Amino acid sequence: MTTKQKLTALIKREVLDGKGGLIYTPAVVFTLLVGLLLISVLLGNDPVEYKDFVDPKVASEKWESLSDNTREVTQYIFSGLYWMTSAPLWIAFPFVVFFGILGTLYEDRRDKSILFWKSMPVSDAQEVLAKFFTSTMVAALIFFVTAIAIQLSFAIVSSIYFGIKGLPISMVWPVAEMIEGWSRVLPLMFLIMLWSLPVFAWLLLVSAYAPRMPFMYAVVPVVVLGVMEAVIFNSSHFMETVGHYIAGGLLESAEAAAEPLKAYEKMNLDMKNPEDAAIILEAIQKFSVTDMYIYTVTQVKFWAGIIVAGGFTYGAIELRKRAS
Amino acid sequence: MTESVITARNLSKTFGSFQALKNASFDIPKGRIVGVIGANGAGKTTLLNAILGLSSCDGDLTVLGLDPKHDRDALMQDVCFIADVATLPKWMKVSDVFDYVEGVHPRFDRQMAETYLKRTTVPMDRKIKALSKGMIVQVHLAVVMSIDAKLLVLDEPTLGLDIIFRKNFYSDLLEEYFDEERTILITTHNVEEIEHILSDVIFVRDGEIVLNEEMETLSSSFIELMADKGNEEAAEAFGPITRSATFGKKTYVYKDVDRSALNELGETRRLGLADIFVATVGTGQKERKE
Repeated sequence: MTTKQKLTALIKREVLDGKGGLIYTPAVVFTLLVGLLLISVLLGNDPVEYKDFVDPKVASEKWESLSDNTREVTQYIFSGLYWMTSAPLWIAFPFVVFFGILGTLYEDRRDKSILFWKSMPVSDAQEVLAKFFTSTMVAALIFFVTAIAIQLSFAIVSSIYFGIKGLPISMVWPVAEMIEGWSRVLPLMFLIMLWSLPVFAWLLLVSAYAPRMPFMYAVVPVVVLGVMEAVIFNSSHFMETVGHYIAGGLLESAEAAAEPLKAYEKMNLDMKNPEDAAIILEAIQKFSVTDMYIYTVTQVKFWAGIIVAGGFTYGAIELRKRAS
Repeated sequence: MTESVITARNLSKTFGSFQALKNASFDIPKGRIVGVIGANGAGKTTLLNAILGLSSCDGDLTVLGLDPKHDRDALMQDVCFIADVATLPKWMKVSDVFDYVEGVHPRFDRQMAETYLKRTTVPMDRKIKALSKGMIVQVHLAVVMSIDAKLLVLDEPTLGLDIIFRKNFYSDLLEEYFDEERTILITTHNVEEIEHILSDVIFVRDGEIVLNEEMETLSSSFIELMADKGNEEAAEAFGPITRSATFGKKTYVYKDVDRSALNELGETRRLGLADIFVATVGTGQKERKE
């Protein structure tokens, strides 16, 4: 029995256990979004609302008449619009991760299945890490794949609509830009997870510890500490730090990576102009997730968060060892 | 000398001011079926939890050559346990349980588990929460019997089950699982049900091991005498460990007394395990059938 086989079995079990959040939630969001789109199209609505291209003839001519650069910029815009279609998915995602981690070790203790899991040759560290990995990384991957499925479904439905209306189908298939977008978003999601690791690990620790109501055990101490600091010291460092790991750190790294784009801000570029479109394309390429990673790894706060996350995770493993 | 599967020396465990285990020392050799008998709160589950590495305790404990507390996952390659009927995850289907065990346990034979389960009425695609208590035990037993383990620990495995399930459980265990290479450790309140399969018993009282004996020795050591009228004084002279009155006659229990001598004084019989437990432990709480 290899470690890979064991890990696969553990992750599969976790996905099954958390299928409410990991399978049903994305499936329901997918069905709702694509269903609504289909209904909307059947009712005669334009799925993408390209107002400029309402008249098929004009649209085709306009599309064909665009320069390669302008068309590519337009494709980037369309591929960006596709990401907006999956917005409801990304609203659900933090809730799925939050409650997924919070319940992962708690539920085993509550329903006593922990004794069955402990009767298997799986170490507590393997158990806890597999649960943590599934609740965060696997969840992110499932939502990411669902977002891609939603994008492709929108593109397919739009293609049918465009085909019927005689509009250029290639408009709704910015394939290269979509793939580029996916290849940027996946590492971005991983980076979001890394920044949030101390928060997630805190939830994991609470999940291993809370005798009941893990939500209260997770939230109340944080709020109490924040309020106490505000009352006693008239400051908000603690809550700011928490916020930094939830979103602040990531936004800072995004800002740092977007620094080279500032030069383009005052250029007053018009994407319809092929030369300007070339500059816009150059700007798009200059924004790199790698730069976000580079900024991130140079931040002391990031490493402090990783160390704290390590401490919380170690605590969760130790608590799991003692639980029966 | 037979190889010891479990070696315990001076095991102690306290919960706050309550001492659940007090210097418990014993050896359990290979190929035995050992019953751990004690009243509620006597320390049986604490002892089993220590053996399984589920909780720590003071003293020296070795199970199959390993320290259970530090090597639980390695130990579980060779140890199986059924802690309670409620421990199988309710959200899983029976097939999911088999999938999982197949994925993590190198000694699990899925085909054997499925063959065992086919003889029952448990459907593979049913969720655990939709099964009766008896069916859940059958699933758990199918898992356990299909793992090539050296030690099986059963903590009240048939709790809440009806008599037919209980009988089948133990007969399956004996006929299809147990052999001289395997050791079984059982705690149960249904002492009468398991006494015929036990090779050894350990009596636990207030966290202490008060008796650790082979069944054969034990049943020949304890004799009950229902003394004829007028023989009470002679019966007392043999030093009974307990006295009671039945049908207007005095009844005495003796340990290690010559039965032929007692036969002169009245009717004698060997005691059942439950009676020996009551006589030895003296809690006054006779183990009852559920």
